Amino acid sequence: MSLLQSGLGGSNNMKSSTNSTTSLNPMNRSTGSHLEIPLKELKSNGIETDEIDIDLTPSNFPWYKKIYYYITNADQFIGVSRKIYVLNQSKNSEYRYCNNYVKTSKYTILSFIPKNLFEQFCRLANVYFLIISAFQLIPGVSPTGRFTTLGPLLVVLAITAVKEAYEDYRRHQQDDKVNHSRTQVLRGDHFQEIQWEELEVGDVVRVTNRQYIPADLLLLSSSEPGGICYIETANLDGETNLKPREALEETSQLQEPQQCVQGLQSAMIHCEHPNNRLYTFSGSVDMGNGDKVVPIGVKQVVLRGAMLRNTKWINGVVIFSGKDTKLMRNSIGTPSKRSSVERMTNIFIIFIFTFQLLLCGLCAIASGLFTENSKDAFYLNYTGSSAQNGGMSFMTFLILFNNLIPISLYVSMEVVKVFQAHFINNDLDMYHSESDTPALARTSNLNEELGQVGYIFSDKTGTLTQNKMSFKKCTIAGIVYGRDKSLAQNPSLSSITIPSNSNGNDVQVQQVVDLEEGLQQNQQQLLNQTFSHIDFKDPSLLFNLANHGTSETIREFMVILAVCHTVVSEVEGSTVTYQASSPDEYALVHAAKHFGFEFLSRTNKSITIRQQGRTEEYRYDILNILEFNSNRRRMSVIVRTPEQKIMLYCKGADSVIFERLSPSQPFADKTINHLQEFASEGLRTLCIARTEIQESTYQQWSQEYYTASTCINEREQELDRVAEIIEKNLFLLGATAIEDRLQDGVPETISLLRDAGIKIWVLTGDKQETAINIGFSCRLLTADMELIIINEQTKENCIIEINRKLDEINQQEVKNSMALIIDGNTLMYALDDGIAMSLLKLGVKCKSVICCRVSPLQKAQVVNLVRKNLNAITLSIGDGANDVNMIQTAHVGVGISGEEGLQAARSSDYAIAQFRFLARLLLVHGRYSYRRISKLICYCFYKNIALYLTQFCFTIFNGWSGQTYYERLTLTAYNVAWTFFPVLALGILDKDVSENACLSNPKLYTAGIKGYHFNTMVFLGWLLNGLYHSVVLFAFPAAIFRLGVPYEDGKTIGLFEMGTVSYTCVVLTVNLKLALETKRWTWINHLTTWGSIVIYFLWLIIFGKFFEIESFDVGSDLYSVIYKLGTCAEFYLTIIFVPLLALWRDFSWKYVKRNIFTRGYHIAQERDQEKKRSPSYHSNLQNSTYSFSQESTAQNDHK
Amino acid sequence: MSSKEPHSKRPANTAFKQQRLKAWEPILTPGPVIISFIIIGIVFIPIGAVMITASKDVVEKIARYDNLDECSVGSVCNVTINVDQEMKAPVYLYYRLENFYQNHRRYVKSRNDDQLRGVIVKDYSALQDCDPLKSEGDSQDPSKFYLPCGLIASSMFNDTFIMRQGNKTVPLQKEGIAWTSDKEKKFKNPPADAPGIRIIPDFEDEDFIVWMRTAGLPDFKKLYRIINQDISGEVTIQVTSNYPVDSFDGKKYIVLSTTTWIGGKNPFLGYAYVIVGCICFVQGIAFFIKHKVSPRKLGDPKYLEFSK
Repeated sequence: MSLLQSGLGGSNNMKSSTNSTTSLNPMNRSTGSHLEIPLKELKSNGIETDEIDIDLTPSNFPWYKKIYYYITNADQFIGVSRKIYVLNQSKNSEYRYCNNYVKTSKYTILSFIPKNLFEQFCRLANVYFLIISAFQLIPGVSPTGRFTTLGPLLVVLAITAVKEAYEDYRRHQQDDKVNHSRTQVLRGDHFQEIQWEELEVGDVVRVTNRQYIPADLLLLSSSEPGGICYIETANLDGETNLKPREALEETSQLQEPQQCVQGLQSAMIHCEHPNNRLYTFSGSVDMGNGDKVVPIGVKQVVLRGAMLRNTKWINGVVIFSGKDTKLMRNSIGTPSKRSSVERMTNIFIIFIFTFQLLLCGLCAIASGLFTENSKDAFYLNYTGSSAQNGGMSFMTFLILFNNLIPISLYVSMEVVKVFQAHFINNDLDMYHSESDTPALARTSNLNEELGQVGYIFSDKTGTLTQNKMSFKKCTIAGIVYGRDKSLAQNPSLSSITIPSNSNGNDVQVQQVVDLEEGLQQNQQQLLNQTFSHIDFKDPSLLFNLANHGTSETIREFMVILAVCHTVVSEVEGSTVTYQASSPDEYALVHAAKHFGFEFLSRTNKSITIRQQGRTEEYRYDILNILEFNSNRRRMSVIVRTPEQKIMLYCKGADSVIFERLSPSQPFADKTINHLQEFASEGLRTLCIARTEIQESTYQQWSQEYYTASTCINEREQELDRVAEIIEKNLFLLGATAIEDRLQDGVPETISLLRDAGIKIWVLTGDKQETAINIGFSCRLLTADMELIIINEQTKENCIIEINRKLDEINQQEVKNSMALIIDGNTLMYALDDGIAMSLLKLGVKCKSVICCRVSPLQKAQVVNLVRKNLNAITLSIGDGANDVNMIQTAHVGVGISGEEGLQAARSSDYAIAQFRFLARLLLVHGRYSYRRISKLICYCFYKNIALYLTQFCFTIFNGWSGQTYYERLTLTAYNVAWTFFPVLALGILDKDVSENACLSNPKLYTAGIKGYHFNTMVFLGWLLNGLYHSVVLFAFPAAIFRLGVPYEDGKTIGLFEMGTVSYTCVVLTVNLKLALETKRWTWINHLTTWGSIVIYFLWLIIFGKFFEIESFDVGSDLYSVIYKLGTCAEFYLTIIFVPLLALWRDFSWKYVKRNIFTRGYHIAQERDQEKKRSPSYHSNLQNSTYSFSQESTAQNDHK
Repeated sequence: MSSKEPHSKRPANTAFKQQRLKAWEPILTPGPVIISFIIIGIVFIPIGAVMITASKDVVEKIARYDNLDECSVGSVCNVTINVDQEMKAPVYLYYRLENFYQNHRRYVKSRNDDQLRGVIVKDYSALQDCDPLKSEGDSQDPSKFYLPCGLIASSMFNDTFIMRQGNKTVPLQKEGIAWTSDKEKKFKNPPADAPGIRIIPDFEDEDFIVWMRTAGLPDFKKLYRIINQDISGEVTIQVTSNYPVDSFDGKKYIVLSTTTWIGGKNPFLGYAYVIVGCICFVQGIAFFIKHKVSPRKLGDPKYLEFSK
C-alpha cells in the first residue's frame, strides 16, 4: 500500500506543462523524458504493489469479512486509487470492479419476503404486535383465540408489502429498461453492439449523437476537431445547457477501432475511487508507450446519464461502471425526516402502552383477589394459588387490551400520505407550464409538517427572483451607462438611508425620468419581453465607444465580456446561440454582442470574436481558465491576445476584485460609488479587471498550475491556491449591473405567508444594499418598518451592538414593526454560543430578517439556530447547490427546480417550480394534510379506546377474568374491516374549508403553527371522549338487557348476544363519530362510511350461518345470534338509542363550540356555504379554482 | 435511460386528482341543529312512553328460596307466590341465580363444541379448552374423557320445580325453552357406545341446552318452563333443591313472568328514551332561545382574525 502511494505520489509531482495550454514550450519534451525514470519506477513498483493488492482482494478475505461486506454492501476499494488496464479484462478482473448492471430496486423475488419483513419489523409497533401474537399462541392464556392480533397484523403487513412490491416492481421495470439499452463496444478489432449491463471497466465504447452515455467514460476521441464533444447533463444536475468535454491530445487520434486497439493495448489509467462529486475528477493516463503520464480531469470525463449532443460520435474507456458511476453515487436517497406529528404520535403510543400496562396490572391484582374470594366456588373449580392465577391473567389482559394501541394506525397513515403526496404531485395550480414542471413530493413523510411551518428560510437568487438575468447598466472608466430605473426599485426606498451617489462626481447619469413613466415602461417590458437578456437603453455608450477619451477602456471592457466566460456557442446556419451554465454569463455575453463584440465560437484552445460589425475575426488563444467557484467568487481567463500579449481577464464580486487591485487605480473610487448605486437598485454587480502578464512570469506560473492540475487528492484547493498567485495587480476597468427579476407573485406570496403567521428570513449571498432593495420590492420590508442594521467587524462590537438593540426593543413602549438586517461577517461572530441566543431573541422580535453575504454553511447554521432553540417548524427553500445545506438542516426542505440546476431539488423533500407555489403548498396542501393526519391519528386511538375499554368494563362484571365480550373473528376484523376505510377516506379527501378559503384567509394557517389540532390536550380530549363512549357503550346495553328477557317468546339473553348488541353499538358509534368529523362528503365518503356499517351487518348475517358449514365450525359463538336478536324489538331500539346517546355529547359540543368558542375555520366554512348558495357561485366555479394565480397576475397588472 | 418522447408533465385535470370531487358539505348551523334536537325530543318521548306502558303490562313475580330453611340443599320444599294480577298465558317460569359468574373466562371457554355436537373426540389435546375438567384424573384414554367435558356441563343447575295451584298441578311445557337453532345444530347425542364418562345423559335435553348458553352477567335468569294457561291467585311451587350456592354466596330465585313485545319487565330503556328525549327537546329550545336572543352572525369576519 505504502509503496503504491509513493509511486503515485511520484507521478503526481511530475513537472510538465498542461496539455490544455497551447504549449509552445520546448521544455515539454525534455521534462517528459526526464520523467521517464520515476515512471519506470512506478511501473516496477506496480508489480509489487499489485501483489500486495492481491492479498486484499475480497476473494482472499476471511469468510467473516466477506459476510460483513456482503451484508453492509460496503465499498471494497483496493489501494489508494483505481487502476484500469484498458482493453485488458483479465488484468482488471483482480480488482473485482462491478459490471455495468445498475439496480435501484430493493428486492428480488427471493429476497422480498425476508427483507421486507425485516424492514417492517424495524417499526416498534409491529414488533409489539408480533410479541402479542406470540403470547396468544400460548394455550389457555388468550381470551380472544389465537389469531385476533396476528390476523390484523398480517393484513397490515400485507398492505405495506403490496405497496412496497408495487413500487419495487416499477423500479425493476426501469432498471431493466436501462440495463437492456444497447451500446457499441470494441471487441477484437471492431465495434459490436451489446447491452449496457454487459459493459465492463476498461472496455472501449462508442457513443453516437443523442445517445445516453452508458457508463462514466474517459473521453478518448471524438468526431469533432480537437477531440471536443458536447454533453447535456440534465439527468445529472438538471442543467440543460451543453457542456464541452475535450479528449487528451495523446488520445484524440484514436478514432478507428484498429487505432484504438493499437494505441491502447498497454495503456493504464490511474484515477480516484468512485465518489459522488460531479464536478471534480482527478487521475492520469499512462499510454504505455514510454511517454509521460498525462493528467486527466473532469474535462476528459463524460458521465453516465449525460446525453451526447452536437457530436457525431465519441470513443471512450469505461472507468466507472454500474453502481460506481457518479450518477448512481448521487442517487442515494435523502436522509429520512420524521414529522413532529409523527414524533408526538410515538410518544402518545408509549403513553398508551404505559396506561395499558397499568390497566393490566390493576386487572391482574383484582383477578387475584377475586380468585382468592371465590376459591370455594365449585363451578369454577380453581386449581393453583390465587397469586398464580392473577399472574397468569396479566398476560391475558395484555392480550385483551393490546389493541388500545391502534394496529392499523401506521398503515393508515402511510396510505393516506401516499395519496396526499399524489395530490401535491398532481396539483394543476402548482404546475408551471412554461418549464413543464409539476410539483414533486419527494417524500410523503412530511406532508403534515407543511401545515405547521413557523419559519421560512429563503434563498434569494433563483428563489425569490427568476435567475433570468438581463444586462441593465454598467460603469466603465468611471462613467455610468444605462438610465432605466430597475424594476426592482421601489419608491419606499427613499425612506432608508443607504449611501448613494457621492457628491461632486462627473457622473453622466441621465437622471431618472418621471418615476411613474419609468414604472409604466417596466410594466410594458414585463409584458412584452420577459426573456430578453439586455434591458439597456443608453445611446451614450455606443457614442463614447466611437469617440471619447475612454473609448479604448470601453473596448477592452467589452472584449473581456466577450472572452472571459465559459459559454459555449452553437452555430446553426448563420445564427449563433449560446449555451451557458451561468445566467449571469449568458447575459454578459449577449450584452457584449449587443455592443458589437460578438462571441462566435470556442475550441478548447481559443475563442473567436468579431468586433463591431467588421468581417474580420479575432482569435484569442486561451492559455488557462481559472474557473468560478463559490469560494473564489471570481473567474479569470489567461489569453494570448491577437497582439501576442498575455493578458489575464478577470470578473468577480467587488470584494474579491478590490483586494487584488494594483495600487494606483484611476477609476476605483467612482466605481465603488456606482456599485453602491447599482446595489441599492437591487442589481447584481460584477467587477471587470485585467492585468498583463510577462511571458517569463507566465511560464513559471503555468508549471505550477500544471502540477496543481495533476494532483489526485485535493486538486481543487491546490488550483485555488495557484490561481491566487497570478490573479493580482489587477487593473479595474469597471463593473456590470445585471438585473435579476422577481418571480411572478413573490410579493403577494410573501405577504400571504406572513399573514398566515409565518416568519420569513431571507438568507442571501448578495450585498446588503441589493438584499434590502429586493426586500422592499418583495414586500418583505415596508416603509413603516424600522430597519435594524448590524454590521460589525469585531466580536466585541457585535456582542455590544446586539445586546444594545435588544435592550432598546425591550424598553420600547409602542412597538413598531422591525426588520433585522445582518451581514455574513457579523453573523460569523453572532452565531457564537455566547450571543447566538441574543441574536435569536432579536430575530424573533422582528417581522423580517435578512442575512446578506452568508455562506452556505452559515445558512445552515442560522436555520439550525432557530430549529434547535425555538419550538417551531422550519422550512428552507432554495434553488442552488449553496442551499443544499440549509435544505437538509431544516425540518422541511423545499427546492425550486429552476435555472441553477437540480442540486437543491434533489436534496429537498418537496420540489416546486416557482416560489409562489409555496403558498399553495403550505396553506392548502400542508394545512389539509396536517388536519387530515391529526384527525386520522386521534380517531385511530379513539376508536380503539372506545372498543377496548368496553372490554375492561365488562371484565369488572365477569370476575376480573378477562373474558372477551365479543366474538373473536368479529373482533379481529374491527381495525381492518368495520372501521378501516372511512377514516382513510377522511384522511385522503376531507377538507374542512375550501381551498379558496385557505388562501383568502391565511390566518387559518396559524392554528397549524401553534399546533392547535394535534397536541397533548387534543389527544387527551379524544381519549376522554373514547372513555366516555366506551362507558356508555358498555353500560347502557348491559343495563337494558340486565333483566335478561328481551324476547317476546320468554327466552333469556346470553353472553354473546349482549356482546353483539354492545359491539354493534360500538361499530355504529365510531362510524357515526367519523361521519360527524367528516366535513366534506364525496361519494367515496358515503360509500365507505355507510358501506362499513352495511358490511358489518352482512357479516353478522352470513357469519350467523357459518356454524352450519362443516369446515367453518368457527362460528359457534355467534351462531344464529343475529337471527335471534333480529326478533327482538329492544335490540333495534338499543342500537338506535345508545350511539345517539354517545354522540349526543359530541354533537352538542360541536354546536356549542361553533357558536360560543368560535374559531376561524367555522367562519370560513360558513362563508364557503354562503358563497356556494349564492347564484353566481356556479358560474364562477371554474374561475375560483384558479383565483390565486389570477389574483397575482391581476395585482401585477396594477403595479 | 433511452431517450424519451417529449411529452408534457402536466397533471391530468380530473376531479379526483384536483380534489374537486362533488361533495356535500354540511355544517352545524343553528337551524338544522335546533330542528334535529327538537325532532329527537318529539320522537323519543312517545317511544319511551310506549315502552314504559308495555313494561307495565308485564306481570312479574319473584321469590327467593335458597334462604328458606326448608329449601336447603337435598330437601324438597314449597314456595308460595301470590299472583295478585292475572297473568295471561303464556306465562314463563324462570330460575334466577345471583352472584354466579357464568361469564367467567375460566367457565365460558370450558366446553368442547364437537363433543356437544355428538362427534366422538379421541384427541386429548382437542379437549384443551375444557380445562380443568377434561377427563378423569386427566387421563389421555378416551374412555376416561368426560362426556361432555368442561366446567359448564359439570355444574348444570339441577333444582327441579313442580307448580301447583290449589291442589291441581299446573302443566309445565319444557319444549321450546331452548333455541331451535341450538337444538338442531349444536347439540346432538353421541352414539350410545361412545367411549367416555357420561356427565350429562341427554345432550338434547333442553334444560341442558339452555344452561349451556352462558349468561352475560353474574345475575341471570334462565327459562325453565312455559305455562300455557292464565294464572291468578296463589300458586305453590314445589322445589327439589339440589344445587349448592353457599360456596359462592349465591342466591336462588323463582320468577314467574309474562311478556309483551319488549319481552319481560324492563322499564329502563323506556325511561332512558323519555329522559334523553326531554333533554334533547329542552336543549333544542335552549339553543333556539340563545339563537334568537344573541345570535352570532354567520360568517362574521371578526372571528377570522385568529387571536387565541
